[in-house]
Amino acid sequence: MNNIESLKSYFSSEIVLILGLVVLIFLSLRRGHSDHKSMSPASSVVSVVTLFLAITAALSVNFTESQPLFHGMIALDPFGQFFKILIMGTTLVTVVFCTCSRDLENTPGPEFMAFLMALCLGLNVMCVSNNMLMMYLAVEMASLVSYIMAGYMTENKRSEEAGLKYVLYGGLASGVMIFGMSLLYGLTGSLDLVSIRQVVINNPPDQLILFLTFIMILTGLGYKMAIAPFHMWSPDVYEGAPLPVTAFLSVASKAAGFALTLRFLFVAFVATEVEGTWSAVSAIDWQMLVAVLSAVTMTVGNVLALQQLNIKRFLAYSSIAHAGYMLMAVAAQSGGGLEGVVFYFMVYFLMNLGAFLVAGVILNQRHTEDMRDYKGLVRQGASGLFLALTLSVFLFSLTGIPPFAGFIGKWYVFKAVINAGLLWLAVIGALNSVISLYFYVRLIKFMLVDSAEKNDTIERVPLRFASLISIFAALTLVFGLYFAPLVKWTQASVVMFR
Amino acid sequence: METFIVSVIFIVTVGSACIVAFSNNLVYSAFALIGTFLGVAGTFIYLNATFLGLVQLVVYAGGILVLIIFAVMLTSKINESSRSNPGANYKAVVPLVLLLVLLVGRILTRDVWTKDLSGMAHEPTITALGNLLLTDYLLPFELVSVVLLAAMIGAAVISRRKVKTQE
Repeated sequence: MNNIESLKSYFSSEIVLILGLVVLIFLSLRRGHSDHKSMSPASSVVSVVTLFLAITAALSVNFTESQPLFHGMIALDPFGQFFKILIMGTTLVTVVFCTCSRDLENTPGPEFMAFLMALCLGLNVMCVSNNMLMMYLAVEMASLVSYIMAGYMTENKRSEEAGLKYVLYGGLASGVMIFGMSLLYGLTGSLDLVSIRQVVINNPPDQLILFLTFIMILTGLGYKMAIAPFHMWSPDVYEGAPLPVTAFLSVASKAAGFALTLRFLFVAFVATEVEGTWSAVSAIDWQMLVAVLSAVTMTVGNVLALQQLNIKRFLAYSSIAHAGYMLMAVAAQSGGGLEGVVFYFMVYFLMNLGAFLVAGVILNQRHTEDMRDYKGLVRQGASGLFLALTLSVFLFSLTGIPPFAGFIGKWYVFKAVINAGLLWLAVIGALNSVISLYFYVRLIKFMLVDSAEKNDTIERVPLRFASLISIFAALTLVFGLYFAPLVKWTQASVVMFR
Repeated sequence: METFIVSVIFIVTVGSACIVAFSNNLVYSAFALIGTFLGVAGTFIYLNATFLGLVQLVVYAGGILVLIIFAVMLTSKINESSRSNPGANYKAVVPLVLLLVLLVGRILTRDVWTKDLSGMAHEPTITALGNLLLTDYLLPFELVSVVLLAAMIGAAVISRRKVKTQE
């Protein structure tokens, strides 16, 4: 479809985001706007309205059929739409999170919101790119803005370190990726994923070079998904970045990375589909590769999470482990596996953001990221009880214990893996879940069983946080028992343009 | 003649890149970068990508390099910086780099590339680029502007000092 037609009805949520970005930049130029003000109400309101409009626009797109837009640059399909809505939802929560966060006090507010919109736009484009040029550009757009946001607390050494480390890793990863892309272009003569598949199937290029190319591109994508062995940056960046940014990166950035990887794998490198099961192109058997990556990722994430006492690092390693579980479903190479990833992301959104929100409240009041300071939380007033119980819900769900939503997510993933005949991977996944039980439950024990060194009560939780946390906790419980609507949406969302 | 030109370009590019990487003096490194940029521009022009070659000259050699040299010259105590890990991983790096060079060399010298460029007319690429940018590649072209806007504001926000306002 040509540019004007694509712009008219299908690109509206992106246009809304760009307009919001421009308004926010003008807000920051207002006369009398002081640097020392933290998040100003006007900028948060503008961001929230922008995101609402953008989500409505994305929801209102009707799919008669999936089709390419902008001369094949991006693809219009339910798969992309799902991830776009997930990312914009995360951004919405992050905006609310930012409005009262200790980390972001004394930093320029409207600019921060503008970056958030730009990041959201970049991630949105990542989910729908169907062309290697767009893929690279979207990754670069998302990364550049994330670097800025990770180092946003300019007075804080750790935040600066996080920003710089992120830049160095990101620069290298995207350099390797674009080198790989240039080689793939040389091999196939096309930037378009659909045409690449035609070439790879019909006249397979040199196998060794194709494989190296594939690995190179996977390096860049793996860095975005934060999977082992490309995960090194994430604990340090997650620890140093402002807490709302960490929460955002761990959900939205990862989701976009997965969307892009899935599209890359399932559009350019699958050969045939038989009853919902795909087979990889004969030149590259990526099933085994992804399976091994997934096993390594979850093991690294879970084993390293065992020793963490800083809540941000702890959640960083836990998010690496969860990327491993999701990758397991990718390795299944089936419609069921795709559904597993999509479903897992929905529950991951709830439980991970929920955990971060609770950590944010405690950071605001106690000025601590150390998990030992969570001891006896349950006995520290009504707010303490509320925080301890909701965080326990999120942690149990992250472990994957019924009746919480996390269990259903894991169940879908494991089902897909076993159906694909990758029993060894399922066993490793199960062992990893057992390991993860230890460190999640340790934090729960800190909060519920241990007693605090000094007993001061937690003050009232701000209404915005309290309502978000209770909604997330309630949904985590509800979706653990009644998940039919999610399944329906999931099944509708795995349709991909190819 | 062609081999001569190619080898001169190669030697200039890689030679100055080595100085950039290995020189202990940051000022030397910054100045050596000009050789690398010129070499790359030469490669582009040699490959008939005239527009890219010129952009390389104007943007990198003309703009970015000057900026880097300014930054290096204006930073005080630049030669007194202490290295926290002097040559820590050379043992691991050398074989890895060698492996990479062999691998890339093997890739690039194989005859597997689809596009045969020998029959291409030697004419400027600017017209074709301009047409493509405003038709097929309009979306990436426009998105780049948003990327640059965000990056620019980001650089300003990150680097500015807090101005003490009078209460």
